[in-house]
Amino acid sequence: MIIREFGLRQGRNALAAPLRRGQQCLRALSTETSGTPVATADPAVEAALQTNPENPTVPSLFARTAKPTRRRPVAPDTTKADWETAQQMRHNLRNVGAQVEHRYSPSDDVTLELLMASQAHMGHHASVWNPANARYIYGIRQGIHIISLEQTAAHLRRAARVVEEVAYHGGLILFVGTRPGQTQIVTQAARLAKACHLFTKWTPGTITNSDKILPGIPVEIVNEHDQPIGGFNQHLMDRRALVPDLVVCLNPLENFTMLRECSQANVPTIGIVDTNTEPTWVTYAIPANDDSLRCLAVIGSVLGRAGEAGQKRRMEDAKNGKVTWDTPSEIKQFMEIQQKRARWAKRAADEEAAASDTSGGLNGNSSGGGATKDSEVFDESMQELQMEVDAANADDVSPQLRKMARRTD
Amino acid sequence: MVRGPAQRQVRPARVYQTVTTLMEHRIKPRLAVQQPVWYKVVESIPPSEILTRPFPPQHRQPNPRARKASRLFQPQKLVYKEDELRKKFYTDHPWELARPRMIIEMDGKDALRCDWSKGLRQPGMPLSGECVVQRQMYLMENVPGITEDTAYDQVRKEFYKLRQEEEIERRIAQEEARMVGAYFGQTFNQVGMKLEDQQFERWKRWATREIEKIQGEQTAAYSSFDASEDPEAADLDVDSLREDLESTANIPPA
Amino acid sequence: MSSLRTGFRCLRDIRQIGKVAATAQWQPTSKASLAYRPKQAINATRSITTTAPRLAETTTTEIIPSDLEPADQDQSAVVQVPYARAVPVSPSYFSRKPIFNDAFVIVQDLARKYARLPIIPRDKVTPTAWRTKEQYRLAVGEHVKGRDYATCMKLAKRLNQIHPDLMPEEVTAGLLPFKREVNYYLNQPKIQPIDQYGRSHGVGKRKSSVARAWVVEGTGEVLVNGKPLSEAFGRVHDRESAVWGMKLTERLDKYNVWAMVSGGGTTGQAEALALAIAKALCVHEPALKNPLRRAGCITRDPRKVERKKHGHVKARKMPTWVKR
Repeated sequence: MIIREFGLRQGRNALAAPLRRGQQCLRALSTETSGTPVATADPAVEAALQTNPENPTVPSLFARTAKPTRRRPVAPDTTKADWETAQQMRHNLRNVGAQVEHRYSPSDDVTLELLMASQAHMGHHASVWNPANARYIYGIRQGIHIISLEQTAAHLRRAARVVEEVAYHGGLILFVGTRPGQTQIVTQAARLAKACHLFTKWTPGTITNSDKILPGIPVEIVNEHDQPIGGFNQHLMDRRALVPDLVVCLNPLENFTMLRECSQANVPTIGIVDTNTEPTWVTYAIPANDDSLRCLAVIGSVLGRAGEAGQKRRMEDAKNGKVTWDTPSEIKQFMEIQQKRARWAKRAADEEAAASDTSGGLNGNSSGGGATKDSEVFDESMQELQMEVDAANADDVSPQLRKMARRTD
Repeated sequence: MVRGPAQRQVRPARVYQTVTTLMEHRIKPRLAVQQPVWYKVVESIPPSEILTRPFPPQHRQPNPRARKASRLFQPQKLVYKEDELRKKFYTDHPWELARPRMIIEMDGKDALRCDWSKGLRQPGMPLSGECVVQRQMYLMENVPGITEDTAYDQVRKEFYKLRQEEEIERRIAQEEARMVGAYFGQTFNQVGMKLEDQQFERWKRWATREIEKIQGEQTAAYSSFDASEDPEAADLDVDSLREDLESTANIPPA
Repeated sequence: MSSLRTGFRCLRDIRQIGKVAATAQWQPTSKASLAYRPKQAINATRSITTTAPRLAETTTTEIIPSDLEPADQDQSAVVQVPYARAVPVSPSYFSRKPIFNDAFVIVQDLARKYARLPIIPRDKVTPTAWRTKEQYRLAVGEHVKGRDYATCMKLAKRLNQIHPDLMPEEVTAGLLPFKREVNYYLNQPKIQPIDQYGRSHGVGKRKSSVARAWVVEGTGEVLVNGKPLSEAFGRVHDRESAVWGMKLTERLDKYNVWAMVSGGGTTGQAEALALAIAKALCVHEPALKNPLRRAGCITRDPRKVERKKHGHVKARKMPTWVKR
């Protein structure tokens, strides 16, 4: 847009300002070509112009006082060298100073002191308790319920055993912690136990309506050494979504929907139960303080480590030839169908070879015993095919196969 | 978050029984339900019993006059003798609460390493109100015939003495350090005064700017007329403002 | 979005089957016994993966170990393994947004790991073309929530501030899914040359007019479509706006202009010409660009005639509404 009309349009404001009462607006309205000379601000332009040196200080509408370019000498960037020096110095100075006598080293076992230091014993205010948790409560101190740490430790050990055994049997474990700040706990536990994690909202229906919610999310088929196997593409296209075999929930209070779905799908659950939480929502309750991230981190890592141990045992057993899980029935069925198809293909190939032999001998005369034999084999195979189609129930059957099956009906 | 009363759920605890029933059903004999991965696990590690009402841990002598049976099953208050002593000490010495405390423990068994028969100073533990309470407890339990007040007085005096020693040590250390050229920065009072002065300066700059702005507006308003027509009216306001400003700025900081 | 992805999956599936069918059409005459076969053919030739559409950078799945590959390629082979079970590829399987959540977890871990590295101020960072939420959704095919994406981008931008000399490799790799393929900040404008006769060429458009102008040093002659300015444009206003850039910079008597204008009306032609001349002028004297821009001679005015809509009298005008 050409701002020739600037003076007219913005005239009111321009005239209102006390200092802007010069020639510039009038000049902008003029039409003659050689009017008031225009001074440009850029020194380069100034040098290029070299005209009308008699009146260079007239303020222009578009002119702006250019900042004098003040160039400071640029210091070389030594950030990297500085950083490396600092790291080196830190490394060198590590042993300087007093020798701290370490009296405490964390052990693998869960101790009551560890649980207490991580604030696992602090429940909620006594007025908001859930009486079903009475057996986990030790007493009331300063108005809040104190969770009995013996109970916590016992239940935590039980839960850890469950996680370990499920991991050992090749189950799919899911760690859920949807409160802010629980992401790291959940992801770390899942990484250790080779499990799944969830740190965002549970989409309602992820288990009960998984056909609508989870399709297309990649799944792979692995063997007993956890190496992916090819050749299951068709099965992966058709199969239903996965359901976890064990769910560990750090905040059951916010995940009622998920726990409800798990119970509907007969999935055992482990949950951290504070004094105000309903313990019957989960299969295995761990009475502890679910508002302390420190406590959750302890419990999450304990369970993650348990899963890690289970996975390790499973892999070792698989190496020794002992497999601790069965192939799921749908995969077994798929493999059986594949094998059956291979058999037919082989038979068809044999037939073709036989037919070509006979046609070569009889020179087009295909009547006789050979044909009847062919048709018998065909009928037999068609019956088998029909059964197959029924069994697979719109499993991957090519249009040609389907058409053939319909024709035999 | 406001929640309604929690619903009891039956199924989670009975997963194993449900799946067993499913697997053993006879409705469609040819339809086989595969055993879930967790089946053997839950079989060997059953969930704990939760909905039975336990007798809670007892922390006080049973009251023979208590008549309400329902109170029998409620958790009891945890009350210790130290609580009273602690309360009394900190009521008497509230500024002890303002001192920094060390809350780091090594392995959770630090209290067992203290021997309160030897005095208030314990290894790895700075002197604090907790020392007084623990020492008092020790005296009350171990010295025959001592009352609570006597023990408190005794320990209190020990405590004062130690605190005084600490103070003196700290002062002397400070003086020595100053002597050899240490500089400990400004005191809290000095820092506060400095901040206040900064605020004053900032306000002065702001006020000057505001006055200039008002003056500019006035000039602009009267510029179409003769500027010398009514100088008093225009200047009066600004002058008074400036006087105000100067008088305020010249107040010496309290 | 998930339905969209499912739709794509179907499309892909059909295409693959169709390809197989097409090749089967050209095979030698099929007999009845061919009916046994197609499953094998399909299964063997299906080489696509079942993974969801992934970013090219993040595709890290190397499926199928080498010892199993021949079995997959062999037409007659059937999967015969004693044990097989299905596991999710991503640990974020149940979150519905596995690709985003995996990338987010990586970014979070990196931010925690490299929190101590020295950073440079934001204005010193090389400008990076980040994906917007919508672009990321499109690229990944997941309906990522705005809040989650904003949280992720905050961390990503903080990571991007790490001093370039100390930037770890994994940070660069971890941020890749959130960057656009093309960093348009690195675009360089093409330099227009002055030809051997001292002419510079500029093109300008306005409304539906197109103007081409050749500017050469001279004495101030302007020829538009072979006619002088006063003949080409009847209105004084148009004449003035055609050479506004030159007039403003006092170049009217220093250059000759030879221009061709077509399309549109007089105003459009004149202002298209102004743009063309200004551009050509900048080739001769690049320092004039700022004054010309301030005069509004460099910016293309993108406004066009708005199309007429059905149900309207003009572009927006509605027919008068009468109650009965």
